Amino acid sequence: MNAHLLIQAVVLGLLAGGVYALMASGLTLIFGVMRVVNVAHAAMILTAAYVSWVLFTTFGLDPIASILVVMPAFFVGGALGQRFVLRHLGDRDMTLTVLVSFGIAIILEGLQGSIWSSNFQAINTSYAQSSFAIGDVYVPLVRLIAAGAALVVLGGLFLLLTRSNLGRAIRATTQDPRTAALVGVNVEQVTMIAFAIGVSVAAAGGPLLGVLFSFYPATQWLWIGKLLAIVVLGGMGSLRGTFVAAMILGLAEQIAAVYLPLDWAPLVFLMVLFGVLIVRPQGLFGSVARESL
Amino acid sequence: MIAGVSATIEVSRQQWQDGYRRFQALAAGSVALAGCAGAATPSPAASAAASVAASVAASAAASAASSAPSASPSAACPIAPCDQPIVIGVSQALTGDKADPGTAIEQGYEVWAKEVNDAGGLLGRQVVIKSYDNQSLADTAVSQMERLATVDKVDLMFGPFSSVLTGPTSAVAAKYKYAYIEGAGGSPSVFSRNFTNIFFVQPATADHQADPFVQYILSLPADQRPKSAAYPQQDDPFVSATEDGAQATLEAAGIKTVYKQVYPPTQTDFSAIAAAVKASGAEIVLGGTIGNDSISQVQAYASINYQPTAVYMTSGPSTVGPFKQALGSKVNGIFTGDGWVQTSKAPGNDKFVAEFHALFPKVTDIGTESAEGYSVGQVLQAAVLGTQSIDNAKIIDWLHANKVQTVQGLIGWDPIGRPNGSFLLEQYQNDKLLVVGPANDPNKNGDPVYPKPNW
Repeated sequence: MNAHLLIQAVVLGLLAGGVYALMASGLTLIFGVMRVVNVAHAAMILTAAYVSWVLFTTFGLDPIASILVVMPAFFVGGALGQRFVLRHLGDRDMTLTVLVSFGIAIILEGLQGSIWSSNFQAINTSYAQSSFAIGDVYVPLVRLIAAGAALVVLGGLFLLLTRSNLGRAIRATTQDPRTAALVGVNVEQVTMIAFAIGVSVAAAGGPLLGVLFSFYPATQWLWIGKLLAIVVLGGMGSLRGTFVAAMILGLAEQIAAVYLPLDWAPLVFLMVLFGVLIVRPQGLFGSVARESL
Repeated sequence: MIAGVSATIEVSRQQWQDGYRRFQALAAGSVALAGCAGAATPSPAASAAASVAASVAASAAASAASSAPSASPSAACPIAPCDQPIVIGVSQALTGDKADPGTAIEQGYEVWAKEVNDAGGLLGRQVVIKSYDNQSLADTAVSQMERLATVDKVDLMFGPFSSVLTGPTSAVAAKYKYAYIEGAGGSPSVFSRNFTNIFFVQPATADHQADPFVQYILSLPADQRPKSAAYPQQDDPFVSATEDGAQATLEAAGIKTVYKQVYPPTQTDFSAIAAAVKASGAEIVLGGTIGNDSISQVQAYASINYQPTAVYMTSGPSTVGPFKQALGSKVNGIFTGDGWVQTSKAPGNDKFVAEFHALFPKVTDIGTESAEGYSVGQVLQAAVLGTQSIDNAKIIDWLHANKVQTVQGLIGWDPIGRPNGSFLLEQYQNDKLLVVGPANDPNKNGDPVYPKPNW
């Protein structure tokens, strides 16, 4: 195999990693604040992909532009869902929320199949298969746009978390809800907003997934496995870790797919994951949690 | 819970038409998930499966009441007991990962049974299809086949959807000496035990699906003929049979294999595969695809400006609606193979299509599997009428000696049940899927275009 192919794989891997990072960031945010493993995360991303697909096929709205529609809509939906469902369950038993989110994933998949059929779909924009060449290396335009959009949303999320009072409150709640409450943070409200942000960031990933990959309701199970692996590798709750892990997954998949039998591509990432977990059980950027028994 | 959830995970073949029924399967998964009623409560999907058999039985009973044949043999009803229906047993994949194509083939059985019963039955007796839902699980299918043979003592048997279930169940059919007429078990593994009771009702076996394409490529003038081929393919027995068959012939003709990789059904990103295929310099691509991977492959090739002179895909492009919607005009030039088209000129096809739409008005695009199911019925009907009997030994002998006209064309079999016909070669041209081969096929409505227009 030649060097040009390696460079091509690296470019494709970095671009894919950007999109993976966006899709996984909501998952890690929700876990960080609520200690909830949202198994329905990929189902939510796919729901946003379907909404974007409908907006594109019915009104001709560009899927990248539709991010501006799905994000606020899912923010409201996420806030309502947290306020009226998850909060009550979380008060009783946090592990119950995992089961409930699994149920939500199945319900969302069923609804998607009922409304849009279980046939595969893809959002076919005019630029969907355009590309430009830098030397011998092709850069697919749609992947560049998707990675760019992902970085914009991720950058916004990063600024929100580090430069605003709300962000400080979210980070404080992530570290220790009780202490945060003691210093005046309205933990219930912050948790609701953080969950809603997590869901709306997931929604931003939907249109990008729809543009880059074909999808049907059951593909959520492929994605949730990938996204959970990213979050675990990065350190659950760490946005920075998620970004790095997503890039590692993107690169591992693409480079392995070029140089190894294709069955090995997912295996390479899992080997990295296991290796890191043996050395650092909390993941690349995770912190060790100490909880009272 | 596991069965219910697995229905959502696996990638079944491309004809996933009935969202509502899939939702029923998912609801069954939810019931099991709740953990309180999974065992005690019949799942909605299982009820639906039972109702399929019940509806056929009910229509059979109603027809039986109107025609009311007598119990003793006569010229109109040579086989006693004439007041009892002929029962055909099936273990079908009505839920689980093969639920959609399994349901489609079952619908073909139902259309055939209704047609026969409306016309007064088979040899004057009504036909009842007794179906059990095997949840797409081979072990379940085998035990259900045992039950059909020993407890229900059915008169005749039809096969389920897919080679994975047909192979194991064929051993049960052979043990109890049933003629095993089946429409969807075409991989070489089904025929590997040399049973003489299997009759596969498609134009040809899976390893010959790409033959018309291969023959077309080899018919090109030497200066136009490609010199290298790539075979990116999904890990699936049907796909590997087709791809291996094509690869062997092309290699023998001097067309080098420069890329061959098997990807798992979970593969979502094809960009690196496309980059490697492009780097291999392959002039043509034979994509071993099942469903959405056909779309993903095309997207990936186009996005890195890889322009092969011909692209053949095993499965996916014939699901016309979603394929075109996802790819737009990039479908043009893509070849695929199929055993049946809705516009087929085969005798009786118009009647089948009309009857299907009457019985299942919500299904707009009839799946090829439904035509396969209907053809299975046609084959049995021909054999029963030919032998004036429902004796399985006589039916087996008759089928080995005769060809049968079906909506998929005229089909005959070799001693181990492999059909001897040819698949159709189809190609997208001007956004339409045309039949472009074989050259002498009556359904042909276009000529192949080569080289393929750029994406």
